[in-house]
Amino acid sequence: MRRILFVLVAGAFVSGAAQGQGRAVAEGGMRDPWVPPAVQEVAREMPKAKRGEDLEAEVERKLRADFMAAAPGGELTREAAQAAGLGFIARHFEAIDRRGAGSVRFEDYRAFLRDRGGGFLK
Amino acid sequence: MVYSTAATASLPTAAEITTVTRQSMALGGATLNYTVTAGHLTALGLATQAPRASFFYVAYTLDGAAPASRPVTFFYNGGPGSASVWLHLGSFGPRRLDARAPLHNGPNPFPLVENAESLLDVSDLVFVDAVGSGYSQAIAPNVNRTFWSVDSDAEVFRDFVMRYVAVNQRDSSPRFLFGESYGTTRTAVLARLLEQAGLGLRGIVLLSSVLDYSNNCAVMFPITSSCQGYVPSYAATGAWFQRVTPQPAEGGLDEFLAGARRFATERFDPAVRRFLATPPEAPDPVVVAEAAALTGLAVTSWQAQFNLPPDAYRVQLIPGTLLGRYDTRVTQGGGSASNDPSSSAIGSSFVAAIGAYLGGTLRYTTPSTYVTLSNAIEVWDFSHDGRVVPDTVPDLATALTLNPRLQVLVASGHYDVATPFFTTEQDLARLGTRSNVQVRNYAGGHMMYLDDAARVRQKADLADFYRRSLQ
Repeated sequence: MRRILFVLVAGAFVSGAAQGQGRAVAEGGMRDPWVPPAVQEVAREMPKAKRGEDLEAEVERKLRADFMAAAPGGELTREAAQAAGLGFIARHFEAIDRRGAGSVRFEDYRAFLRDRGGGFLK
Repeated sequence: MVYSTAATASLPTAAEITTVTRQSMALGGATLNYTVTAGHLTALGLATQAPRASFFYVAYTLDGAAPASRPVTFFYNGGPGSASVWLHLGSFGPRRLDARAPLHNGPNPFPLVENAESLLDVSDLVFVDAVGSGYSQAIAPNVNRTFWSVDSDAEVFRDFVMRYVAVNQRDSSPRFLFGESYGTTRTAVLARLLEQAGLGLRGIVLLSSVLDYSNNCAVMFPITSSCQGYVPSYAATGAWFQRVTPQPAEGGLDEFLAGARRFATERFDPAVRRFLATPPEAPDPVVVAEAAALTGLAVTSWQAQFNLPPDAYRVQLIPGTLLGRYDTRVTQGGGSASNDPSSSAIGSSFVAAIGAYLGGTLRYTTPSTYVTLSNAIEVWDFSHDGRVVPDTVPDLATALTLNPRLQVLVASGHYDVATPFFTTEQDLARLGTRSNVQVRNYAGGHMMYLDDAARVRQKADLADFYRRSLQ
């Protein structure tokens, strides 16, 4: 029902293409935030929002996932980090590579972020 | 080149063509000379450097400013599927549509006027349209729909920001993001991606946020989660219409809303959880009476639908009157909650104005039609981090881990029952207390900047935010 009405409303929002002017149109109606009914159906039983230690673990999981996606072998050189788009690691490479190995592991990256403080890694 | 917002549309190739105009405006007692650049930039894949999407943007840059100290802010609306037209022509650009929310008692369609609250004195401003909106389109082999997911949309926005910074030599400029509604969902993911890519941000502005979709009861139907996050917005609305008991004293709205927040979490939410449990417990009559007094909505309404969603409040507060969704202060005589008088009051003015502004004032000529809002939302992939709807608080926490000095300003409107301010406060509370995360709520709706008084306050808060962020 809601969808039908929005389309009708949208029909009114078409501007003319007068000389020297562009033409604009709204193809739909504003619903934000909204998700399609099929998504509503499966989203009803959502896991609990993470907070505290669970949120910290989630931050670490996300950082690890992105690191490992760029480093299938588990280690990254500065050049490999840059090529994979992990410019943050390339930029802070010397500080992250405390072992002076010329390549860094996720544990090095994690330790750098944790020791710098202010974030969500414990 | 004719741009299309169709899901399967794809440009065979793209060129970075712009139209440049010189303009000036009076702002804060000074004359600002600025350059407007309207056109396209090609977002390149982060690792591959392959062309991915041709982004349409309008950039306002102050003439003669030193790039190293001059901030640049990227603005975008939400939807998903919306172009940046609302922020571009309604908020802090050099010109704005004189909407005069909530009464809208000026000329209609709204005239475009010089904006005394423009942020151009503080930052360069770049308004950018999502892929498949405005004149932005995917480049083959991608199609628009390639970028219609939480993650791919944020990734291609990252690629646009990096391209803008590289092409315009803004490597040393302090950078800010300014997103509205779904644009805040995008910002949380985008901030993480930019920090990770090594393009650090100085600050982000989250306006009318939806950080965790699952914490907004009205996004789901049937409603299975507590609507307690809406209760303070109902209270603000009831007070606006002078239907609450007792009515807050003059200047006493903050204290009144503090009480509404306490009621929502301490009294209402526990009762609603028992009501939603199996077996359900009948609504506590004392809580029902308290809810009615606090929000102005009749006891019978609360009895009939104890976990009351915003559509019911909008229809039932004043019999025969429908309240707006984006701004409850805007009303019409009855009608279904599927209508939003606060949207219909502004929509046609913005659609008409953006065409005339781009083609006339900015002399950007194209045979294409500028699409202010596509139907991308119908097929958008909302999944993120293994959840079917996004919770981007962990993305924000990750961005803050990569950049603990990132400044965050969160703005909401008291009369917005799309992204209620208390829900946003509760999402942010998951980050703990942080001095670099600040919340500002305004006497306005979802687009609180359309309210003249709110926009003046918001400009002052933004100027203060930028000042502190740049220290």
